[in-house]
Amino acid sequence: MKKLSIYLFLFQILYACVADIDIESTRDKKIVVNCVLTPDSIQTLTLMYSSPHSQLWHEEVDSAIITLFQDSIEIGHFRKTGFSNWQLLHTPQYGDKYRIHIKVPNWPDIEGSTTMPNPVHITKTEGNNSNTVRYFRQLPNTLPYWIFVIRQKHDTIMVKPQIASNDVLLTSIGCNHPNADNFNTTNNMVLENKGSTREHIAYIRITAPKDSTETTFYVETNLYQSLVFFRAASTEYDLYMKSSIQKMVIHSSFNDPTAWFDESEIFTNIDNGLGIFGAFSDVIVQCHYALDNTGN
Amino acid sequence: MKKLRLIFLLIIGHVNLISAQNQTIISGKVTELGTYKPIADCNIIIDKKGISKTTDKNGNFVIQTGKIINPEKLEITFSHIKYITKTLTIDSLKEQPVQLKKKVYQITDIDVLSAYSNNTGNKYTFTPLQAESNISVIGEPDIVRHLAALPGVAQGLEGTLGLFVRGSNNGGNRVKFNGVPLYSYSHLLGMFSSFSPDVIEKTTFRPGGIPIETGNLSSSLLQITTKKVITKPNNQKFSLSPYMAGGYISCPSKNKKSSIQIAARTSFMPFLINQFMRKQTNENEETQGMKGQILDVVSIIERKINSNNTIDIMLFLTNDYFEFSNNNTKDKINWGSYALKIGLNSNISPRLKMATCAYFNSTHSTQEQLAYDEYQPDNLNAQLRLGTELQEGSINNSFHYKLSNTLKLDAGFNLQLQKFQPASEKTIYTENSSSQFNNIQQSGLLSAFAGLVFNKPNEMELSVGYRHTLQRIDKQNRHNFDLRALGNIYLSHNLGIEVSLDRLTQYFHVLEGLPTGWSLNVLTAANNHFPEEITNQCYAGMFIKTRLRNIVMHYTIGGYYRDMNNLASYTNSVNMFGATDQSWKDEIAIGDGRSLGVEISGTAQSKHFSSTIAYTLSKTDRQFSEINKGIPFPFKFDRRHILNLQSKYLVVQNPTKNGYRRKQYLNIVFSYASGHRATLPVSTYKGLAPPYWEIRSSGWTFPKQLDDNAYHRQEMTSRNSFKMKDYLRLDVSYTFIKHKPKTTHEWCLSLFNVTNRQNPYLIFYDNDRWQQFSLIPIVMPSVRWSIKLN
Repeated sequence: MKKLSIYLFLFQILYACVADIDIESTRDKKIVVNCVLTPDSIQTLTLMYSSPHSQLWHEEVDSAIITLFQDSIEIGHFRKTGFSNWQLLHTPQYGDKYRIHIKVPNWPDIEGSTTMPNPVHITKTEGNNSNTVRYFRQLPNTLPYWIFVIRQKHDTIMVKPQIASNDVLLTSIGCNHPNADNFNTTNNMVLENKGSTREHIAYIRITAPKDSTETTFYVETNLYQSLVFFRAASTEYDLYMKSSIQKMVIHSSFNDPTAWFDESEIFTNIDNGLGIFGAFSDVIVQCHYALDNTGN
Repeated sequence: MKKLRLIFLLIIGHVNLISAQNQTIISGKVTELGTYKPIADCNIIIDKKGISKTTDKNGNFVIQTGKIINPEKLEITFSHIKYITKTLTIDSLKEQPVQLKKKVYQITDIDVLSAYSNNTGNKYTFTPLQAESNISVIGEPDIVRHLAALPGVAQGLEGTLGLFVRGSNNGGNRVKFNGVPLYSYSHLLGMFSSFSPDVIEKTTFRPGGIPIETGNLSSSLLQITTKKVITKPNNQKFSLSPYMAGGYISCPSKNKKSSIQIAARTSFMPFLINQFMRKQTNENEETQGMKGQILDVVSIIERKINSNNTIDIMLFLTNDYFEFSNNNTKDKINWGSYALKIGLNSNISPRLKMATCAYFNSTHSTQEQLAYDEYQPDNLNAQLRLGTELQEGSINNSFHYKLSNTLKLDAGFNLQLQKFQPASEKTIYTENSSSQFNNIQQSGLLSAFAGLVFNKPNEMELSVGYRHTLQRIDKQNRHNFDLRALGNIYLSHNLGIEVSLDRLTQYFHVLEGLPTGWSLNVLTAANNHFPEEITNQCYAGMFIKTRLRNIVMHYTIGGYYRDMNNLASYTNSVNMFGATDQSWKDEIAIGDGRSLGVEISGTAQSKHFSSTIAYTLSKTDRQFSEINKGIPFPFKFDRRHILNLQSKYLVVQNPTKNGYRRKQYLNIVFSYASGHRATLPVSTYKGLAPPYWEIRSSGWTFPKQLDDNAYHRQEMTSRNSFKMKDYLRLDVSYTFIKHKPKTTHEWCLSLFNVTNRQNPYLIFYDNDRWQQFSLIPIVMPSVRWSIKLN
């Protein structure tokens, strides 16, 4: 009896802290626009409605007039090509401002704007290059950019690199860039703790300080027959990427109750709606066995 | 021939001494200190002469005696039942009048119930007995927890540390125990405080009108005054409850010149939990275990060097340690602090007093995780440590000079040397690799202050002070100032108005471990990157005393506005746990806050019943450029309404069959507060996955939620725009006290949170449904027994 009373008491403390509840979510359905301009000739966009919390299927917007403007000049209308997908034939110009305007019946007008970023000025450079370390030289930069690495199935040098379905995005990557953002680092070092830099989860964000100068740094991961991407991001796309990956990282552990405290918001620049209207431009560096490790 | 010769004319003391060849005449007047009211029937005894007289109705007296040699050394004792006895030499009467201080009788019994007396909107004084009216989880008085029942204080969760005063952060509250600031003073993650009530004389809480002697704070001051036992009899007490067991002993020396007090408490709770864990182990066939320690010790030695100088030495120690282990991992959590103080109080002259003290304190909180090899459990694979430590050494000196009977000058200086050490360490033994982050910050603070206090009892009390602080950090000098002004003006005997202005500056930041503020905080010095926190506040109100038949009532009502600058906050609550950031600095934002509100408190007290009420209507918000798109948002604990009611009723007061005195009383506490704020996901929508996420490398296993968040996004409410269900709690206790000839026994039966789960702290979505987390979700019973040797 004595033991029973102790257990009853401890049960109270340890296990009775959580209870199911009903809360009325005051959710308003919103229109979601996802469109990121690329230097390609075809621009794509998805248009859907938001769904109740935790519902992972979404309703598409049937009809809409979607117009792209370049520096206030109308470029054209997006055309629906499939479930929730829309396309426009246009090649954006670096440095130009773009605005998107969406008209959906019985909804307020939806708008967003962005600027097409110039590619990062980056080149391979000499250093203690190896299959796991590659040195780069970056010229002064005014916008943040992202680094990630795709390992290719075949050791093939291409004039314009293409990603095949059996290529792999490396989820462990490190670098010694002084402006690397540590928001998605882990407690490990890269290359299963054998590397010299801290491990980032798949992507490295390089911030652009006001006094950015020419920088020489190295990327560290399994670089054998891989493509190193340097993605210049518009301010909007950069904030969207960072907030999205932050949210992913928070939920990257099993049974971690700290995720209960997650209050992170995903960046959006869509007026009267949700989603993203941004832009990026890539510089891709091939690191293949056949290439000279000096970087020349 | 009677030729009188005037030797001394002591006008100041209203005492005239006239000495002739064969006789001496001493005459004068005795008045009450502060009010100058004449004291009638005051006994005047002349040392060694066996001569005594009493004052007349106007306080005057005349004593004739024979010729006295060296009359200036003559000692005269003034005594009255209502006043503190005073012995003065004729010589000392040159400098001070014969004014006697009214006796204040200490509240030591239940007849004086839990009413606040003479409180104003900026000053609440209470004893541990009064704090007992607020029923705590452990069933014994908790002076820190009692603050939650005062106006202007919003509570975080069921504990002692999540106390948000007038919209400020928890880290801005300064707790001074016997003059020493303490930064960690809680047990069991803040469930109750480390202060043993047995060693405490009284506690003064000041949300505003803070004395200029105290600096380096940005919200409120809690001054805990320990007992002075030199002139008191020996005392021993022992108490026991399921949560804590404690003992207290006080031993004054026979010559009444020195004393020692020791109070110590510990808990058997970790032992009980460990027994429970072992039972679980057998059922699950897993090795699970827990070790723990909860401990606090206070020791105070006081020594009266002479009639004018007293020295005291204090040791304070609190420590909590928990260790959880299963097959492959071991987690350790440890937090606590210790402090050592030596102080000297001197009456340099009747007008000048000096207080000097030097102290060293150390606060720490650490977490450690050890990972062992799955197949060779004795082999350590990895070790991860996170911790923060603050070491502080200080020398303080203050002077109090009486310029006149009503005007006092306070001045002094503080020198504080602080070493902040947030640190992390990771060692992977299998890879022979180790990384350390150990950022030691040393901050030196030199402050000088001066203030004037004008005090005319029952008419007005005015004080104004200025404090300037020079901070030396990172080889750079920073400086800032504090300004304090307080005015209490009595319009009549029962009615007064109060006005205060405060500028408070705090030269460090507390990055709190949980939104409630628990012990595992990161402390960091203010610097050029994270400037010092500055709070400006004003308060205006009134206080009223009245009597209705035999019920004495006391009310305060007032309004405040508080402006807070350079607040440090994590951009997301989850960052507090250091999920991925290399350094806590990466996700810290600096911003501002505002709070305004109305505070009402009231007490009603009769012979058998007392009741207190405190109500706060307030609005608090925050603004950070990096949070909520820079738009102001509600503070997490922006509780619009807070209402606390406490009632104590003396049920039984008669002797037992054996003739022992006994008392029984019922205590009821009702607590209501508007729900606190949260940011919740309200909808899900299609997102743009990170580049090439669909072809990520295999071999990395992660929860489904991570992938869900790669392809879908959560729409959140704007920051803290979701208001949780209102907080409601009812506590009941019943106390039996029996006085035997040599002992006093006390039993206290308490039920904490009778209302059961009306106290949500956190709402989250898990397993496809919304769930509510309450820290103490259902009724917590407690029994406490104590015995006091009379």
